[in-house]
Amino acid sequence: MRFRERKVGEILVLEILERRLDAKNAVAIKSGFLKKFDAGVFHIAIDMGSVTFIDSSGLGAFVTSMKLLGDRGSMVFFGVRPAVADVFRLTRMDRIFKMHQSEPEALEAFAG
Amino acid sequence: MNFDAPRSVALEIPSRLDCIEFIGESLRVLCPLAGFSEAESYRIELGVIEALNNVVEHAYEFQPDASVQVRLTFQPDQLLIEIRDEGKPRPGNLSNTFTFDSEVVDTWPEGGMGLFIMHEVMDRITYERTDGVNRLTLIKSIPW
Repeated sequence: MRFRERKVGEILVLEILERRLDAKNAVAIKSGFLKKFDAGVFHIAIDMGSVTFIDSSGLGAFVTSMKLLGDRGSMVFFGVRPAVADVFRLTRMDRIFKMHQSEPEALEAFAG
Repeated sequence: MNFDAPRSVALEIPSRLDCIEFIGESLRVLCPLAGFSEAESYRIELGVIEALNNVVEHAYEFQPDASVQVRLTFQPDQLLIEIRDEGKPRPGNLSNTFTFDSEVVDTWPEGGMGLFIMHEVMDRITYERTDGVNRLTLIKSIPW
C-alpha cells in the first residue's frame, strides 16, 4: 500500500495514495498498519481523500487492523468521498469507524 | 444514450485479483451511459467486484490461469450481468445473514460481507451450475 505520512504530535497522519482499496491490496493494508503498531504508533488519522473505491476486502482489512490495535489507541478517518462512505453505511461499518470531514476535526477527536 | 434495444459487452479476465479492476472500471464507464447515476454506477461496480472476488478466491481458489467471463447486457429496462467460471460450485444457497454488535469487538466481521453487499446493491441474483460451469446473474433495473 502506498501512503504518505507525517507526525502531528503523537498522532500519525497517514494519507493513503491508492485509488482502490480492494481484495488485491487488502493484505498490504493490514501489514502496513501492523508495522505501525509494532513501531509503537497507536493513534492514526487516515486521509481517505484519494480513495475512489473500496470493497468488502478493503473494509475487512481495516476491521482486522482495528482489532489488532485493540484498546492501545485508535484509528479515525477523514476526507472520505461520498461513494466510499456509502459502502461504510451499507455494511454498517460506520458504527465501528469514526469518520470526520477534515484533518483538523480528526485531530480534534484525539484531543477529546 | 437511448438503450431502446439490448446491447451487450463481453469481457474476459484471468482469475487474478489484480485483473478484477478492469471489469470494475469498464462498468464505471458504461453504467452512466445507460442512465445510472454516479452513485448507482458505483454500487453496481461494487456488487460485481464482490462476485468476482468470490470467483477468484473460492471457485478458483487463486488458481491464476483460469478464465472468468463477464457479459454485460443493457436492456431497455434492466442491466443484466452474467458471470461465468469453471471453478468449484458455489456452496449453499444465495441467502446471507450478516450481523454484528458494534460494541463487541469480537463480532466485527473481517470478511463474508460480499454476498450481503451483492443483495443490497442488486435487484435480483440467480445462480446455476450446468456442465461444470458456474453462472451467476446479477440484475439491476434501469431507473426510468
